[in-house]
Amino acid sequence: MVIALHAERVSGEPHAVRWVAATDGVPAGRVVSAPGDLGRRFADGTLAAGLVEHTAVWLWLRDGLSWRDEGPAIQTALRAALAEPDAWVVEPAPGEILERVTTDLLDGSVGDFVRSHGGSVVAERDGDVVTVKLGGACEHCPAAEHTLHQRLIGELRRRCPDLVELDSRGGRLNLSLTPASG
Amino acid sequence: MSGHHHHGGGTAEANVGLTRFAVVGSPNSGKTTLFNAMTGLHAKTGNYPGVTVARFEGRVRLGEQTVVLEDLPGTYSLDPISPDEQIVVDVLDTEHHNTRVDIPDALLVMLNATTLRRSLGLLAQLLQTGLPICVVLTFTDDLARRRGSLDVTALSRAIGVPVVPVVAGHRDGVEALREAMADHRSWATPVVLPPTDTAEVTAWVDSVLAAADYSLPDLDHRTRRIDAVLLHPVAGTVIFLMTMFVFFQTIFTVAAPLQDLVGQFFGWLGKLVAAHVHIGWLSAFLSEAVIGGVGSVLVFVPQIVLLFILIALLEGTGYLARAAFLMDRVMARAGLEGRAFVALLSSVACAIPGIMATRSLPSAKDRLATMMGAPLMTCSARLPVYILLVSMLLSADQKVGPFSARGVVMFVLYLLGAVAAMSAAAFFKRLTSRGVPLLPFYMEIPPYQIPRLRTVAAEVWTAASAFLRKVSSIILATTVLLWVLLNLPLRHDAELAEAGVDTSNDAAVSAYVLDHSYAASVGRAIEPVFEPLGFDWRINIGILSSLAARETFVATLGQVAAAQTPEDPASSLRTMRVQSGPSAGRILFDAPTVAALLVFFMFALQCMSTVGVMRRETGSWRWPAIAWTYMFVLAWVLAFVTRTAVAAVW
Amino acid sequence: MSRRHLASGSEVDTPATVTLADLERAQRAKVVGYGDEVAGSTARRFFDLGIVPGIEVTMVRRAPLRDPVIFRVGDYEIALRTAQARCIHVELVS
Repeated sequence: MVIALHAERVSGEPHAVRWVAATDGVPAGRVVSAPGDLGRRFADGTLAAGLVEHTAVWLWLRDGLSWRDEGPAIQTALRAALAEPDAWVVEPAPGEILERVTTDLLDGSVGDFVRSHGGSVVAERDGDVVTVKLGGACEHCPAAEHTLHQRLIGELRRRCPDLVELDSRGGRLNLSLTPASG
Repeated sequence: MSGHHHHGGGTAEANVGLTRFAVVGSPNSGKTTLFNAMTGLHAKTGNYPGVTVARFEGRVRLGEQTVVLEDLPGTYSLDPISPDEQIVVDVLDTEHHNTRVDIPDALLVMLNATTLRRSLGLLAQLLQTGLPICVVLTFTDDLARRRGSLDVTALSRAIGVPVVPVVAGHRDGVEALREAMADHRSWATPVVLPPTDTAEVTAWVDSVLAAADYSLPDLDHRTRRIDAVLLHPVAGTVIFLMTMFVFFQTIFTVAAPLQDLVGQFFGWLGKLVAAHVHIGWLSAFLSEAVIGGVGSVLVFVPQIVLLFILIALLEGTGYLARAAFLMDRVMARAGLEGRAFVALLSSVACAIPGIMATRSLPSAKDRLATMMGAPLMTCSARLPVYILLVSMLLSADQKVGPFSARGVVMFVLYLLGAVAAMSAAAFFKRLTSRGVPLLPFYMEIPPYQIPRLRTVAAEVWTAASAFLRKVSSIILATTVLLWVLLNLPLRHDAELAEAGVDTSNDAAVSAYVLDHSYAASVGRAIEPVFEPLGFDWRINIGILSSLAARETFVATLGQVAAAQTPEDPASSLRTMRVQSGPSAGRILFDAPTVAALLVFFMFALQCMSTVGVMRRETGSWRWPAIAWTYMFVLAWVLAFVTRTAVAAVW
Repeated sequence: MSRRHLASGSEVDTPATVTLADLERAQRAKVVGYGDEVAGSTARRFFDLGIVPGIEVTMVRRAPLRDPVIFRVGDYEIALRTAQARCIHVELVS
């Protein structure tokens, strides 16, 4: 079975690509080492960093390389590596994962919704806790809060099943991933 | 029939310097509808250099700038299987650039939201070209109707290029697309190109569709229910035959009142000329050459337009695909396929749109074979000739069983035309396919749609304007030329007196002028060719003029009759006798001669417009020349056989 | 299922290949591959039409003269002649 996989741009980070694929079996967190050809690319520095979240693998290319050139080979390597989930070595990074996923969603349709109403929304991270803040026209709007709650949380849960909502009040959502998984 | 517009040949040179967009997509992706909507009725056409594929280009005004929009042929893949698809590959080949076609600056890729899984495969191939791409997503309304879902923003992210949803008939989508087209350099591009390996591409498509939350749970129930009837083995066949019956009935009964109106109009015009134009020759010129010639043809415009409307409606709803499906087995016996039936059916109105309809056939050999047979279908131009000849052969009250004899003969003529067309197409298909592997047959069955008024109008206009252009140019020129040739050289009174003609007798004068006109010389010169068929110089003049356009035969004979017996042209034809030669004295239009004429007109290619379209569609004079020659020979031989047979039994 | 006799005399069950042409009305199946006799260009065309291993197909209806046949392939409907349908191997889905 060929693993379903596609590449998405990361806004603001030309060296990063979010590879969307089912990462079943691979633990979530910062990549220390990976099997096969992918692991070699981490080792020789072609890939500067990697982050595994529940539904995707983020990869950063070293400065000076382009995804256009390296992409096809890395795709093949990633596909092969995902077929060996037990061979990955990963260190937990719940805060970073949550921050990236949240920012990703806010850059997309959830954030579009808020911005279309004249508001703004940002995510800030403090350790393992990510705080989502509404601003602008939506700052004190209960409807906006409610919608943000429903949509963002719903989407986040899909991508991070271990999402925990901490105390949230007045236009701020405090979120975290349970430390055991992330 | 495609919904394109044909206004002479367009040249690429005129568009140098303007940004070029090419519209790419599979058939049934809404490509042509969008192209028409953006370019209006201002698209130019021609051929791609060196091949037989037609090319559609138009201009679009985007605020300050004007851009060129090119509608590439529909294709399922950049691994081409037909000449059409090869063209798309050639135009988009950025590496081995064919300098005779311009590479587009950006692509508009049409993706049908209800066939997204299949269509994304084509997009993956197109992304490899490296050209800037904007996806135009169509039929999102159908998607919603089938309770499907798609997150357009997520789709755009997943494939890495902008996506603009467009619904036919709604302005917003097209406006958004025009805005996007204003700055193609700012379009997003994929960070990594999709894979090229077939298994990996399939996996890529799965991943993209999952990320875009794509689901399409329901069938198109409406289409299913309708097809349960229209494609039912019994009910479907019956309905199909009834549709064909209605089609042919339109030709005779439905259009009749409108035809009477047109006829009356020209009659009134003729009287106007007679009353107000007092210059003898001008009055004769206007009433005979212009009104008589062109008017007798324009009488058939209502019928032709009605047929075009019927065809456009059938196509717009999606029924023609079902007709092709029902007829495929029959067509396969002739080595052809169901879509060839549609092209032949269109030829009943006029061979010109019929020949253009062969574009829907993926196989070049099928296309050529069908083109070679299409002119044998009984087209509307043959009708005035058939009506005239049949009325000379049989009287109105003669019957065959419960049916009028004239009606039966007309039906038989239509049937024979169809049989001849199919046989000719089968013959040419076999001729050109010896030893060549056949293309696999496949035909997408699109959902039923409510035809868009604008598209139907555009298609009818395309076909009708081609016909009107033929009338206003070829037919007018021919009848004018004939009139001149029939009335020249001018004879002075002295000449006439010397020849023993009573100059005060108008009838005698016109008969003499005709007898000694340039046209008569030509008619007599080719007598050896047609003498075995029983034609004399007068019929020969008619045949010569009809080579330009069949309809002129009636007008020409009318002019000849009027010249010989101005006081009663109508009965003149019946009483004409052969003037000289071995059968001098016999009635000219006797049964064997009329039958021979009917058969001749059934088979001969007497239409310069058809020759012209054939040349345009095949890219050279070779095939039109072959068509003309084989049809002439066939017409002559079969007319001779008919004459002999009828003379023996009548 | 056809049974293939081994030289030793014992019988082995081998699955008979079911093709699109064998499907009855409304029967569903999953494409598993193409026949060996299929030309490269034809195989590529099947792929481009969405007839790929793993996709679900349904036999919708036959033409009144038995040929061609309309199949539902994934989300859309396509007509194929029996000659083509015989080249596409499927396994039935209940």
